[in-house]
Amino acid sequence: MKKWIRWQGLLAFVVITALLAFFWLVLVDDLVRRGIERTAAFLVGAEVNVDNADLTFSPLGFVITRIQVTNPDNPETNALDIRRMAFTLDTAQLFLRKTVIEDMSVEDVALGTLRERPGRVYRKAAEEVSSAPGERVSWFKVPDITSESVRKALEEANLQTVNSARALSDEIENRNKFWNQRIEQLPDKDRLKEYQARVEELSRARKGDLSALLRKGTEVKDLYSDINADLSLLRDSYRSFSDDYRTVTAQVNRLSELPAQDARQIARKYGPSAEGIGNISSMLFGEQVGVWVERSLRWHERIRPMLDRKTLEAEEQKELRPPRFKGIDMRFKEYAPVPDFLIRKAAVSVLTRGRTLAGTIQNLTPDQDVLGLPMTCLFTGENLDGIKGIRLDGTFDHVNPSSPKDMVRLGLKGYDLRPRELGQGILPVELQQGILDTGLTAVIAGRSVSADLEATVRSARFLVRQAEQATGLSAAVEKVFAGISGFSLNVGVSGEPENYAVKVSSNLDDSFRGVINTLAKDLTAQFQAQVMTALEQRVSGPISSVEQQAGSLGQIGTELSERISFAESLLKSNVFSLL
Amino acid sequence: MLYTLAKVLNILNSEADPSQISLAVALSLIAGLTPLMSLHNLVVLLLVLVLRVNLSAFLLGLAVFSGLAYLFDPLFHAAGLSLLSAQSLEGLWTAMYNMPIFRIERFNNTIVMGSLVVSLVLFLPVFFLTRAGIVRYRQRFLAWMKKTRLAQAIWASTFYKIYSSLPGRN
Repeated sequence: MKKWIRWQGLLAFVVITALLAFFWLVLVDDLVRRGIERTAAFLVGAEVNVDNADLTFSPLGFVITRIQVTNPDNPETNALDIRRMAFTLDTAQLFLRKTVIEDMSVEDVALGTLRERPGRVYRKAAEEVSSAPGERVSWFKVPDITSESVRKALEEANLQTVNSARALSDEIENRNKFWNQRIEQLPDKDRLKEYQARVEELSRARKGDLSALLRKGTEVKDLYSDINADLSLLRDSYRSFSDDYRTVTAQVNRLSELPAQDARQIARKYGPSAEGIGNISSMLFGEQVGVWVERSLRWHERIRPMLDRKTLEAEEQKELRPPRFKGIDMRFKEYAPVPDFLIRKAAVSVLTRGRTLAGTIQNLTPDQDVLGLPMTCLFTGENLDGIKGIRLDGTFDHVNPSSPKDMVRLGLKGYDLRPRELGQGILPVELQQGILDTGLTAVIAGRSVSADLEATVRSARFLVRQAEQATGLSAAVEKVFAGISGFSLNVGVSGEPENYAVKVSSNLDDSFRGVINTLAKDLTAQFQAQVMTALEQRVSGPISSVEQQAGSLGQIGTELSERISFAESLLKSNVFSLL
Repeated sequence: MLYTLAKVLNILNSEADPSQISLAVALSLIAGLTPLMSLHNLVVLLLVLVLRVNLSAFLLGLAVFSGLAYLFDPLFHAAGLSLLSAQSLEGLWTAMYNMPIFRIERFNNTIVMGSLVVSLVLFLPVFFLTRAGIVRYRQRFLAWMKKTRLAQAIWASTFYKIYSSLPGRN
């Protein structure tokens, strides 16, 4: 037995184990520092720097100094800059490979501080957001009136002029046909000339005997009756024709008025309108609201792995090495389930505008379904530099991972607005000063996004600059802005993260309604004039064709009129002279 | 390469007990095939130091098996996965999962489980085969080898000079 035991080996084991423990203790600070940098960078998608991490033994925990989190949207600044962070760990849970932090203090968090050098960005914003807001939203548009827009409107419109010209042409053609047939059946000039021959014959007979004279008297009477009957027929036909012709002429006259009517209807339907142009509040604040919404959604995407293990694992999966080196950690049921990572309570102090905004975050874990509690946060501050009061509270509920619901409420009182550009370049307006009171509620529930913001601004002062694209709006708007010292603003957001609608309204819209209406009216008049010109070119052919047809119909009237005159002259001057 | 070969021969030709050498090789099999920073390897280290095994053989075996482990990791992963996914063993794994000692051991990792089981299964065969091989080598091959002209030539070579310079050579 003695041959097999090497007692000095026991001593060597103790020494080696002690040396390993010593080196671990020496290196652990650096390991933790690197671990925090790597994990935070993975979650945020940008470089994270930690100055120092110190292990404490009683109680077991860490003190970490200066954590800088690069802002992925602006790598020259930090999204977060934390001066000191201290926390204690639940030792018993560590043996179960769980990181449970009962208490954490995060001191002097500053936002947007400058970095010594730009941080690296691992995930670009563009990869996470489908498109920039400007591509999807047009908050205010003074429409361009082009020949193309006029042509398109004419093509789409159901032109009454063309339809009426076509119908009228058919009708005139039918009437023409009818009257041409009818006139064939009526006594014509040959027949009337026959009457004249009979008159001449009777005139010659007057010089004969009495019996012949008496017989001729009877013939004159017959002739009179014949001419009178034909004349009545011609007169009746002429009356009917005149009615027809009057109707046709009236329709032709109406046709010439239809292009103007069509132009008015097209302008009303396809032309610029006050609603189409948009409202002033959308133009002034829409762009800024769009940027805020996009930024909020992007940050929500970034913090989601901290709230939801499925998202965390999906992100990890992208970086998972082949199982050759790491393998897979299988999970089994736990008798007393505890999240793998949990911060029960973190007291956070945020430095903003020279004062401290204090708050707490509770139950931060990607395993809310295990813990059974949602993450909550509450920050409050009063009398900050430029803010009278602020309250931010949020609930991030992923207890049921299939129906998550995150809600944030923000209340702001007496926020001293700094000068900012508004107006999208169409109407460059600068809000030079103002004091804002606002309330915001934003909810992301599953695939649905909604937000409601109500704000009032007091002591407002605007400066209107000359627009790059002169719209004629500036002068009128400047006058209105000069009289505004306060306004209210309502913003509603609804839809899905990739496809949401933003509705901006304000009592500024009432002040500017007259200006917008005048603008719309002027633009509509321009549009109508261009439509009229184009329409006249298009319908001049059909209208002149109809007029020609009406003219040929008129010739029938002339013919009838001539026959009647001839018959009357026969009757008056010739037949009566026989008596 | 020559140095490694010389070292192997040095161990084989030493007067160390074949059991001590083969136990060292078997223990290095566990430490080499499984992830080094595992709790069970602390036990292996204790055994290597307390039991009178050949340390050179252990270190050499550790280097060789660690290299082989990289090649066999996919195999270990598959073996570990099938064991940890076995319905019949779920109760056992669940009980172990709730015990801190096994969580520290990371038994629930597919590669840890696969490599540990494979190395434990191979432990006894490797021990006995190595032992038998050493005994046979010393009894037959070494005695025959010493008489050959090739051996005479080797003794006169650079390789033999390296071999001779190794500490602990008899």
